[in-house]
Amino acid sequence: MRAWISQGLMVFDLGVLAYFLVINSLYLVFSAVAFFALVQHRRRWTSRALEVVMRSPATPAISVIAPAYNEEATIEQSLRSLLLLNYPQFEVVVVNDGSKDKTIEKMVAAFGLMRAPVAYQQPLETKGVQALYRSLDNPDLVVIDKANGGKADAINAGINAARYPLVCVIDADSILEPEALMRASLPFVENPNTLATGGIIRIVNGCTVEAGQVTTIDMPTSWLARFQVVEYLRAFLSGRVFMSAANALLIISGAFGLFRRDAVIEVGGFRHDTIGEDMEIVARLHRRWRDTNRPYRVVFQPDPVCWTEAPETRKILASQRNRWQRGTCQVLSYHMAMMGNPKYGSVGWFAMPYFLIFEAAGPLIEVSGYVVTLLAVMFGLLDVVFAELLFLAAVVFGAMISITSVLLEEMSFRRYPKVRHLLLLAALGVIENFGYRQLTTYWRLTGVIDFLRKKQGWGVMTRKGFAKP
Amino acid sequence: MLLSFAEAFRNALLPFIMGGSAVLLLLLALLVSQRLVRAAVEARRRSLVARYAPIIASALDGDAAATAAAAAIIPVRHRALAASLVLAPLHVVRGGHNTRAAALAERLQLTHGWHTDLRSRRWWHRSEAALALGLLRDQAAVPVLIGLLDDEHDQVRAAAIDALGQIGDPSAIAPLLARMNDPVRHERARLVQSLRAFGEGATSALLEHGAAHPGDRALVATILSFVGGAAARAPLLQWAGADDPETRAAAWRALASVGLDERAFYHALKGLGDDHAAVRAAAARALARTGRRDASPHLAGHLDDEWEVAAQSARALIKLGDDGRAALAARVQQGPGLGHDLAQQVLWEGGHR
Repeated sequence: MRAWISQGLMVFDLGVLAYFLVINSLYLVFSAVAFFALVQHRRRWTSRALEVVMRSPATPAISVIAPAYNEEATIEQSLRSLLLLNYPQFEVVVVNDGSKDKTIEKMVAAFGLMRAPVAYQQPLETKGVQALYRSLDNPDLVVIDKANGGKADAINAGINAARYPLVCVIDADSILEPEALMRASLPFVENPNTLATGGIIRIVNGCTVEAGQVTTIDMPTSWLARFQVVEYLRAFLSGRVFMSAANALLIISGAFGLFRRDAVIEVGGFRHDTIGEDMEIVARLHRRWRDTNRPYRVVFQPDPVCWTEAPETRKILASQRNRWQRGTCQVLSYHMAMMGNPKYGSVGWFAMPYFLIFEAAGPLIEVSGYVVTLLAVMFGLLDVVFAELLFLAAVVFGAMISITSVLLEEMSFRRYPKVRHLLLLAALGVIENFGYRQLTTYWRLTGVIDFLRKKQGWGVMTRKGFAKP
Repeated sequence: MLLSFAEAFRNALLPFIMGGSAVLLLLLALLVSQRLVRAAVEARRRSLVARYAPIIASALDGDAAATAAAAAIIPVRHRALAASLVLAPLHVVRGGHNTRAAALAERLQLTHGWHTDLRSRRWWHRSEAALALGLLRDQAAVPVLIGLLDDEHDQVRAAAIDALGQIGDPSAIAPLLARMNDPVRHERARLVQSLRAFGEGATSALLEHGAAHPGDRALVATILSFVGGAAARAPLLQWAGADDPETRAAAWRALASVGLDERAFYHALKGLGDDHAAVRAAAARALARTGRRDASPHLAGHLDDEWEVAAQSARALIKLGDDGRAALAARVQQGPGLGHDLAQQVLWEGGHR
């Protein structure tokens, strides 16, 4: 009996080990591909080349859509820096999603906004638009005041009001670098079949922000935020660069994404009954364009930078990860038809299964792997060699991957100015694999469980505001 | 069987991990040393700055001995550094500093280098030289700088625009205006900024340009709204009667900042009846600046005009004191419509300020 259990446990453990080896090896491959992609990208898009493109009359105009819900602390500053973006022609559409605080009053006072008639086509259905405000001083600023309907609904209302062919969807508290729009719009200029692009998200905690711009880049002081810096580098520089190269990019972060307006309208806008609306719209674009056999691409651009505030308390981070995980599970369940289906190309045979195994089911496999191995080794049901193997394949190999991502950043963008930062990042790459990563895995597991129990709803994110006290 | 497989597995995994970690560590060490080299170069630069900065500072304060000393001790290879030290204060202060800095730059043989650099093949040399000569207000550089307005590189063009604005030579106004049709908004903004730097002194040159080139009047008026003095009023008023609606609107926008006299006031009331909304809106805005109560009945009539005009009228009325307020209140009483919403909003805001 005992021997049977032991045999079963060994088989299970080898399965978990295979899982870890595969995901980490995949990341190694991602990093290698990303390295070449990044080098090529940087060689190609020097500021000279960028300037030539920007001067061409073909550069598409962009409507930046910033949904705002109870953002009175930061809205004015965020808006001022948005209006200073370096791009030939763009407008900013702020959508006040029924805020309960003074978000709208703050904007009206700060930008001299005046009520204007709501007279434009609204191809996407949204909660009622109560008022439209325009600025007398700045024709490129539009504020929409609408009934509360959630972020996706607010974005849809913004897309309705957008005048230009490209829409840039951001969070109201995102800090875009002045060149971000320019760099994010390049794929559209290069290839008119581009449907969407996303940029890299970096963590603003610890940086100095003046007048809505990051002026000095520094590491966060909170350890929880520091780990997230490495985590983001790994996800964006290794993961998304590769996925984009394979035209299998399934996520464009809600904090900063650029879409073709007609494409988003064609698929019916952002879906408001999901919490993973940023991933869902991308999956739907892939699906629609593959279904109708049209050439298209969805691109990740590594250099348009969007700075965003990361949660610094365990509770908020836990709810964020839980929410992301539920979002991923929901989106996968909506689009199961693409899973493994070669008709959907790299999305069907690679991205969808990858997300199912490593993103959705991952936490289940990882947590059970850790728990079962530890208990079994303790009770003598498994040889210690299995614990060693798990440690090597999950933790040590994981640390190698984290460091690889840090080095990738150092060899490509080198945004952190000091030697100290590089050393700290490398150290964090090692340390995060002893505890932090397991913790996030646990939070994601609660997300999977909540998804299976059909829990809905948003997490909370309290904002500190960027202004110095 | 499985156990021995696991052991074999571990024995294979270990060297891979060790090897991989070694490679990564090596790479990390390499990158760290690369950074350290950079830091060392930076530290060296800082120590040089610490050595030269005091001498150059006293030379810029007019100390002749320091000027001679600076020329003697700063070797040619540190010239770029010296140049940045000479120019640094000019970003902040104007006036006497300029001539002393120019003299010092001449003494350090920097000026000649910059003049040569304006024709350099490397764009960054051209742009740096243009900026430097602009800061020194080197009149001799103006003709070449005007040529650089059509440079192939945007940073050189931007530098030339800035430099010409700083030098303030009137012969640059026409070429600067000619560039105003640039499709890139940032570049236009830069041009306006540069023309603003000419200050009120540019008014007559701008007016002359406008008189000679009727097509550029809208542009000229836009710039006059920043730099124009009272002398611009009469010509602007004439342009406010131009055939081209864009020129009329721009003229009214400029008049709003120049200020209206009695005659202009009555013309502005007439402007409220223009065929083009942009002109009516600009006229309403100009009237707001007069603070004259007798404008309120005229403005009140436009509260249900096109949005732009109605919004400007509402904004204007709230600035015209009790009469304007009464007109707005009357419009609120009249019932729903665009004018109602706007009047309500400005009255509400007025009560909160």
